Amino acid sequence: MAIAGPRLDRPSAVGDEGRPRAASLTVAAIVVVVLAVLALVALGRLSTLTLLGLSVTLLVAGMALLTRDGFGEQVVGHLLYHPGAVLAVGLSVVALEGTVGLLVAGLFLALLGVAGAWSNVFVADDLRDVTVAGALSYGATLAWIVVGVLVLWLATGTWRVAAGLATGSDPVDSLFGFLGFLALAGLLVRSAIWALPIAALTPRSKRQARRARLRTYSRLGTGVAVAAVGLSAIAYALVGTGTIHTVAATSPSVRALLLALSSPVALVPVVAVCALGAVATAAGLLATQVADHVDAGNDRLLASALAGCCFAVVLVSYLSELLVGLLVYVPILLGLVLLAPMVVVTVSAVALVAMEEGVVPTRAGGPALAAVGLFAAGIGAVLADLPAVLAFAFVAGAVVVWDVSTFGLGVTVELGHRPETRRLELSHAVLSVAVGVIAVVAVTGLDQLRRSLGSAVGGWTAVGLAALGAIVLAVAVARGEA
Amino acid sequence: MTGRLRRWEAGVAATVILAVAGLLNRSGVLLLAAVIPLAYVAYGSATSVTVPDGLRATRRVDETPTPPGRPVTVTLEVRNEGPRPLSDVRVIDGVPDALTVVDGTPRAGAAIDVGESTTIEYVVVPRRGEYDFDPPRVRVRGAAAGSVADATVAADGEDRLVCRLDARAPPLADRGAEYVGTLTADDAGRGVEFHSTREYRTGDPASQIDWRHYAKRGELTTVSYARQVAAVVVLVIDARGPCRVVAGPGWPTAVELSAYAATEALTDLLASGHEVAVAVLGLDGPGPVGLHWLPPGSGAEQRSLALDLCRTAIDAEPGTVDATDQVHRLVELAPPGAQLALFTAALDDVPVEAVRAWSAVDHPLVVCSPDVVSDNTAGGQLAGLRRRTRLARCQSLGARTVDWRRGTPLALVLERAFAAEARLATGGARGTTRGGRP
Amino acid sequence: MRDQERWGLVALGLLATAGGVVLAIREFEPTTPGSDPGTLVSLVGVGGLAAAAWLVYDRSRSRRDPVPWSNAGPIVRSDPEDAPRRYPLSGSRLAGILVDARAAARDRREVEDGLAVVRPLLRTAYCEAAVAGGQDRSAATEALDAGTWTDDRVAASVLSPHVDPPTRSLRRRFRDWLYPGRAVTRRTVRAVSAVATAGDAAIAPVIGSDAPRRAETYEPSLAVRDVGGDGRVRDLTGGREPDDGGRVEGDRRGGRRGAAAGREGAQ
Repeated sequence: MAIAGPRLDRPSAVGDEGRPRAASLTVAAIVVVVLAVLALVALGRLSTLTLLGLSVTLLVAGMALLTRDGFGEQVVGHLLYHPGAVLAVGLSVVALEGTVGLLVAGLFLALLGVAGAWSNVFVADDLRDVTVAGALSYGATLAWIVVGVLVLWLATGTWRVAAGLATGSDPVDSLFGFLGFLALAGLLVRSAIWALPIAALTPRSKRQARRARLRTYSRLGTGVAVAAVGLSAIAYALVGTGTIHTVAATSPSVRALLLALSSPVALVPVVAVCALGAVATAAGLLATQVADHVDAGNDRLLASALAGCCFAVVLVSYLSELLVGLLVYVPILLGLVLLAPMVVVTVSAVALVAMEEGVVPTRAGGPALAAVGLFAAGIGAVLADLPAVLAFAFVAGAVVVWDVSTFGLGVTVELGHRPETRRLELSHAVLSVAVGVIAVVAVTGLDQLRRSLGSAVGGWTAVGLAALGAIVLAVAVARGEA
Repeated sequence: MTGRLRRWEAGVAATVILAVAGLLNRSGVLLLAAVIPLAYVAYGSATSVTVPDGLRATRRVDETPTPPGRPVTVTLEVRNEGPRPLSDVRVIDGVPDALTVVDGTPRAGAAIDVGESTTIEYVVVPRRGEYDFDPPRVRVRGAAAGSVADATVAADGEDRLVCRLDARAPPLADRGAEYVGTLTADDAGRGVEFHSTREYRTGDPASQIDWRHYAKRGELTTVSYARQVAAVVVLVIDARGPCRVVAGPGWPTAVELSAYAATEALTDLLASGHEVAVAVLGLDGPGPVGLHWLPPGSGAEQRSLALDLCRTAIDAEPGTVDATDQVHRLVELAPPGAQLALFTAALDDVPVEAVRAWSAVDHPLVVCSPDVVSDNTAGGQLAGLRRRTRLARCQSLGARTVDWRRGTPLALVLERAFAAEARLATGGARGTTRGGRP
Repeated sequence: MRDQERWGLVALGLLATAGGVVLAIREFEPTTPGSDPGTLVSLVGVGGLAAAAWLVYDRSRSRRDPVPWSNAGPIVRSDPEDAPRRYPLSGSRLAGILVDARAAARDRREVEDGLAVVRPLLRTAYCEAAVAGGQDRSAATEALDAGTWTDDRVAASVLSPHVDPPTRSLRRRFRDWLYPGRAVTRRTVRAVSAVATAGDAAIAPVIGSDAPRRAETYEPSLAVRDVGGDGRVRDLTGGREPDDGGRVEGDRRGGRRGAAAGREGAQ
């Protein structure tokens, strides 16, 4: 039972079996958060915490959702994961420039580790899912952008043809143009009726009637197309014999009529019908494809495709907005937004490989990350010239987090998830934290001591003493670890 | 087995990294910080632990021997009778492999003070067999959790769970004159169950005078008791393939429960002086059409033969012979006027057809059906409805049908099944059936 | 070595190390080296290399002892609460039929096709119950066809092709078109519930059906009945602890998929 924790933590939702027990994880989380807040307050940059928290939350929530099976859950997972990942990459790029780079990076890793341990996402299986999903949606985004460009090209081309027809003055062109659009409209209406699942979506009682009506419309569309094609064939024959040109030249009313065929009044409805028909056909085909994949369990593929579409839309609209103004920053932003997911995919692939090879213990992925993060933050705190006690606290915190989490993992492995073990974990955690606090206090005292001592003892003797002491200690520990 | 944890190697690595970083950076803070993981390593490795001799475990199995299908609660108490308190003890009871735990958990972790104890309680549902518990395994950790000691603690108390068909039915010699489930005759006479009263005649025994009536009215009347009549009861166990299903993994099959009910019934009937025959449907037995048949008899030898047959019903593989032939064969074998008691799960239509065939030949019929269908799934709901429909059909065909649901005591079920019916001494009339609510 | 000796050595070593370090670094000025990125890079590089080297070395040792935080591994090698499953579960016929029904529905994206597969079994169940309760078979069949056997129109539409289900919103219709298999499962579960209610009302009660249950009743939980009403594997707990330290290939996935299936089937 959790003392306090995020809503994702329900045993049926997350699976309590694979991660440290809740009480241990709560203590670890508290340690990480307290240290993060202290450090950022000391830096005077508490607002960074919100950015870090946002990025971590998006990342972890997205990863957790990406490992689920429902279609909707996966789409939302994509929509959370990628922005979070891009934000993280951006943060790291920015952070590594300043003096506080290592500290902020360490805090980010620590928060990520703790959040990942809570939602149990740092497991080889799940990382694989996430990596594959990330790569898929990245590919989907690019594919959608290409498709979008194509469609845009087609549409503008058609528009230009129609516009040219409308403003042109050649009656023969106008006739052929109109007939061509009419045939296209008829065909597209028929294809739209075929592709859209209209009959399937009507209530069963009205279905027969609806089907009959749709058949009528479909036949109408075909008829119109055939008629248009027939008329254009006749017209082509007439052109061949030169009849039309002479008729148009001699009779102004016929010429006016032919020109009127391509006037906006006549053309716009036909073109509109064409456009609607094309859109409807595409939508219907898409919907059927989606439906086929969805029920067969290819949710993953589909969710990636949908997410890629969303991202493509966002990218295109965002970039087009930018292109209006800040041309200078476009390459940077483009690079960031397009390449960042690749970076993230690569990182998660590397992590996956590390886990599968056993370099990182599979279940302790989250705690390991948190400990490494705090450790790096400790070193970073020193580099950022923060008070020494904070650096000591970070190092002690890293060890405490690792100790408490592995204890909790041991409890899960040995006792399963049903017995009540909160007291056991809490007593161990209290002891661990107490030792950490004592160590920090002692070492801080030593630090104060060293700053205030004069040059009483030579440097190298002292180093030798320290080395000897370390060797004795190592011997004692090694002998004991037999 | 004691051992130290290797997780502190990470601490050593951390120390090294910090020291290197401190040296590279000429930063005193980093070098000092290297002491912290070292301190943890030292703290972790400084304590050692052995499993104290003072750990005592006592196991209690709340009922053994136990009949199949009855949930059994196992309680393990681990007590610290040693000199020092133990801050982290993890106990796992050695549950036999073949038993499923349906409630509770056989694992626990706690801190046990001197003189205190921790208790593990869990529930298992046994099938027929003998199950040996392994001794509980204990793991003790030191204060820093830096060292671990494993041990196996021998448990006092019970270490064996025996599940037998006749667990609640002691041998005949031990039974008193219980008259549960006796068949009674229609005419009055000596007996135990009240039948009627009549006017006192000279020579009636004093023990049969209705004294309450005399106190009220001042008239002497004699109470007549229903006369027990020894009858032949044929217990038929349905051991066909469709009945070999379970309610949940590790639970007993319907055949096992039927055999258990038959065992209890035959013990009661034999104790009351009836003659009991046993038949098993659905197996490839000796004799024509593969029907297992034990001719009617009484006494301790009959009881043991019948028990053997019940056990065979559970253990043997289902046969290939058509059960309909076996049903008709049974009609030939059963003595006239004998009561037929069918123990079946009613999961398909064959038992209904059997009841129909037997009712045509004028045997009094009893159907007792253990419920192995769970209604927490849609499939279970549907199967349950069909089963209840079949039982209702059996009832309308004239059999006294009893639905034995999980949780209803078997004694209650058998009492209802074989309860007093009006029956002519010459035999022949079938018992009346009650179709109303109990 | 004994405990006291070890304690003594540890204390001595700690003291010597700390003292030596303190005295040695007395001479170091508290520097602010953060302005030197070269140091940072070398720092990170050395640290990373050292860590990687140690981990690789550790991995070769860890192959012998798979669970890194517990020297002797778990106390038990497998789940003590579970037992091998020898016999089939009761009530699994509907599950098999539902699998076929879902496949049939997916063929032409028509829920009706799937319901047609399930229909005979449900109709038989109801008719048997009605006849056992004294009704005429033809009357029962007529009631089924007309849908008068129950108030639930959805259930009635499942058991009879002539009864239309109530009109559903466009959103529901779209969802049924997208997932015809799930629609079949949902409606079947509902129909089974209605059939059970109607059937139980029709048949005469049998002694013992509502007898008091004096003993503690332990129903097998949904988690262990691995063929549920929707035919999918639903091991909701998946609580087997592997003894390889975490390489759980299918279990946890089964847990989460199972959880989804459990919620799914319970609708």
